[in-house]
Amino acid sequence: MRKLIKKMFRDLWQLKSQFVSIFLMCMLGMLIYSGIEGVWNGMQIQKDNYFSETNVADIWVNALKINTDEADDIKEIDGIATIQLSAVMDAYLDKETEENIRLIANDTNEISIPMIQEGSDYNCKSSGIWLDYDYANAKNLKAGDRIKIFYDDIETELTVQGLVYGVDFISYTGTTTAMIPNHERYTYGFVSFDTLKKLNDNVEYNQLKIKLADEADSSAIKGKIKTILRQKYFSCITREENTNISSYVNKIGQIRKMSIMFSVIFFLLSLLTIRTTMKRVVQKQRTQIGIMKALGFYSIQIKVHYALYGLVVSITGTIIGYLIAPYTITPALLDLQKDFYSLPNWNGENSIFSIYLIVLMVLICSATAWLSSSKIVREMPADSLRNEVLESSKKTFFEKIPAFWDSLSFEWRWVIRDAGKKKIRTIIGIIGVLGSMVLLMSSFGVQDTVTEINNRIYGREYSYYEKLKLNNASDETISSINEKLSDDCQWIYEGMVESQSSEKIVTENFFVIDRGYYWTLFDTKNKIIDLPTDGIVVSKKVATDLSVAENSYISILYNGDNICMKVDQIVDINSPQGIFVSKESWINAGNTFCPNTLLAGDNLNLEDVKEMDAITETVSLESQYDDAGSIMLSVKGVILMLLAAAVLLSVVILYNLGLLNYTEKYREYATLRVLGAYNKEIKDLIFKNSILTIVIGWLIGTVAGWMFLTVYVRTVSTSSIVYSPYLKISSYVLSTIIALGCSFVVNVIVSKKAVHIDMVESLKSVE
Amino acid sequence: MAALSFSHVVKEYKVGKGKVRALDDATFDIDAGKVTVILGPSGSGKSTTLNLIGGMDRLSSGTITVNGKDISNISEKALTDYRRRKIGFVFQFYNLIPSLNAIENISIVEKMTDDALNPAQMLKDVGLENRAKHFPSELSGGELQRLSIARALCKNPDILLCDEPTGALDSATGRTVLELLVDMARNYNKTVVIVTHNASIALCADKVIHLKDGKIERIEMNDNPLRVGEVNW
Repeated sequence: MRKLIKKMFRDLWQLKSQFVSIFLMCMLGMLIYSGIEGVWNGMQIQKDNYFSETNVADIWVNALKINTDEADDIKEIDGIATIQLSAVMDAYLDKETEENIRLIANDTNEISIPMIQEGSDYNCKSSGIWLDYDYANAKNLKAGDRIKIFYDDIETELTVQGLVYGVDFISYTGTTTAMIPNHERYTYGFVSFDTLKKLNDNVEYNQLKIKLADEADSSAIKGKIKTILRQKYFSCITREENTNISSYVNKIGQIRKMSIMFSVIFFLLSLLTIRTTMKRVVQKQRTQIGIMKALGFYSIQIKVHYALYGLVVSITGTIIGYLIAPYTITPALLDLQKDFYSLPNWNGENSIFSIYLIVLMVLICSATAWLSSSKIVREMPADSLRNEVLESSKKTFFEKIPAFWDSLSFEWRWVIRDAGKKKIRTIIGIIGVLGSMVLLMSSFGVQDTVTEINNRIYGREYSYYEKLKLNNASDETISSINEKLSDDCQWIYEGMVESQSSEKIVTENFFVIDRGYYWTLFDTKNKIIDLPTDGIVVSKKVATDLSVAENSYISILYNGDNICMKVDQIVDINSPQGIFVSKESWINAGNTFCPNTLLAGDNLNLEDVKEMDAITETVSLESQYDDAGSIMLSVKGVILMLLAAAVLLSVVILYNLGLLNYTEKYREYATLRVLGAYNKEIKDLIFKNSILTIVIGWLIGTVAGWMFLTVYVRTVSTSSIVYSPYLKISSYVLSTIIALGCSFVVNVIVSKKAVHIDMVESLKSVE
Repeated sequence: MAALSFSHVVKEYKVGKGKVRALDDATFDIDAGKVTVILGPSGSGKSTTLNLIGGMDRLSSGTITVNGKDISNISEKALTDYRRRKIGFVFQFYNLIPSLNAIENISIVEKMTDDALNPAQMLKDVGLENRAKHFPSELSGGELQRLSIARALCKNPDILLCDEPTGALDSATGRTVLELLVDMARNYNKTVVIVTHNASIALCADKVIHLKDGKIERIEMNDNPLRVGEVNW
């Protein structure tokens, strides 16, 4: 057996170009899978640890002035384990630069406990502030420093007792106008209730954090809480609905899907490649198998010998892929997530599944190699030692269409019959080009999609210059602004409301939109959505969340009142996701329109308006566009990785196949050379051999690439933007040029071998 | 008249640091329209001679002329043209393309020369007109070699170069194939060169060139060659 192992290593070396491609496919498949698994599994483990260490809340109830009696009543509800009262209030760190801080004062420190990174432990009764670690880092603040906080005209100075991460603030943007966290502008801190009182004497507990017992029914609990709080009730958000947390949890799921989507293609190819390569190796060594059997080797020894080829190549490929992933793909992708989420720990970690996958891949590859030898090993030694019978051929489907078939040259007939005869090899070639097209279209497509959708949203859907948020704007204020801006503006109410269908209660974005041209709703097919004067329009995502259909009714909780409205239309929209009502429809339903958002053009008097007391926040369309563009950062690394994988995939697979076809047809090519064929004619023949698979792969790849892109862009969608696939023609052309270009270059390299054909080979017997 | 002449041809191969002389000072003529057999045991230089006649290898010294034209030092392309237009090759192991059927296997060489013969006629001439749509795997050894002969003749070459044409066949089939080869060559007025180790074949030849250890041992002229059917295999 030791001699056979020596023989195996010599064979591997001799056929290195073919085995290297199996090795690379195994390595890439494992590198991509375990690299991305390290990201999502690491994020999952960090999340689980973080949630358990901080005892994160299951439900957040927002209401006005929750008193202890009401809190006690809620605590008695079946399924609620513990509760914690909080007062949440927004203040300023710097009014000039609009540095906002959300202050939280808890009555106990049992639920959603801040995680200390520096300084003293959090005490909800102590003075001072436990400040957001990311903000402190950005501002170079440390424990012991003092900071000033402003609320209306009141100012207070607090000592930074500690720097913390708040589990309720994993993806905290601070405002509905921002898409990604800006730690320098929107931050948070934990203070005592007394500290809050110093800033705002009227402050009361307005949030209740709830931990549920196991198997509690959150929908039923929501209903009971609503009954207890009656008019004070504002919303009840579960962990899944809390975008500060759920966007992170959803991201884990998205990355997980990505790891499977991208690695499957490489694993599939490594299996197909090993099957073809091993089949050929065994066929070529048929006589050797006969000799081994004649010398007295047992069949099992010979089968194990060939199974070892698969084992050695797949085990080295998968293990190397597994070992280098934590130093390459995992940290690179994790780094990109850090801009979007605030967590105390970012460590990549692989699950045991990666090991199972290595074992599975090695087993399948070894079994494939084993099976490839079993047929010949069953033969009698005398049969194996005899020359191989002439390769059989049969007619293809196309021969049933004489008009087509007869128009083909002999070279094409040869190529088509061979493609039909060597189906697995043809499939590998097709998958090689197809996979390359899929990866290229996905990598270019995701960039195009994000850019196009952002352009649609911030170029056509929104056309204001600046968006201004107002707090309790009176009719006089609104009139005054209208006058200053000569009515060149659009008024909107936007906020979060709890909406209830016959089946579900969920908290959703809610917009009441006045007439104007600074915000026009478009669906994903670029059709303008006209808001009806009766009823509401809901985005597809909301319709799914609420399980509602057109013409059904939903109840919206607005300022303590339940307003029942008919769903007039469900629309597929990129952004924002939510419930949309025209001002007319809202008023027709018996409500008052109280706008809190102003969309304004680049008006000379805009600066005056921004100075008004009622204006709490401003954001320009340009900065929103820049924010949205930064989402690209999270996918940039993946894009580069895909581009590299696409090129490698097509080059390795097509070179391997080209070589395989070339060596297999070497005798025929040598014969043709003897018969007088020029080198160029042989080169053309070699070229034609792969053209068919390349063209089919490219065509199917175009369809598969689009389908893949559709799924892939969903993984980069956020709770506010649902991306629909978009690929520029130039990107498609570029994908085609790269995919076909790689195939072309590989073909040129393989076809150059025609020059070295030894004609004498054609005179030898078939071995 | 000589269709092809070897004059003091030497062919040496590099083996390691040394050289092996595979053909040593070979001088002979292949007569036009005649059947010439190059006969010899293993290692006698048969294959080297075949490679040189077929334009598949270059000589070390000496001269090879075809119809009076020196082809010893012509370019690679000219050598290919020579094989393309002047030589029809019949292989020991047929060397047919498995994915092309009988008629297609002949037709593939049709475009190589301007005065190619009709493939269907060639197929008929070798008695395979009913097997036109059959693939090589569906034909017997004798049929395969007949097909190979048809392919070689289709180019309408001056010289039909045959490498052990009956080597892979049983005696009865071998005899039939040889008969066909000689008849076809005579019908189409071709020069036939058969390279073989089978001495029986030599009896049917007009000229026999005996090779031994890379040298011409002797050249025999046969004024009354036997008919293939008369040869005791």
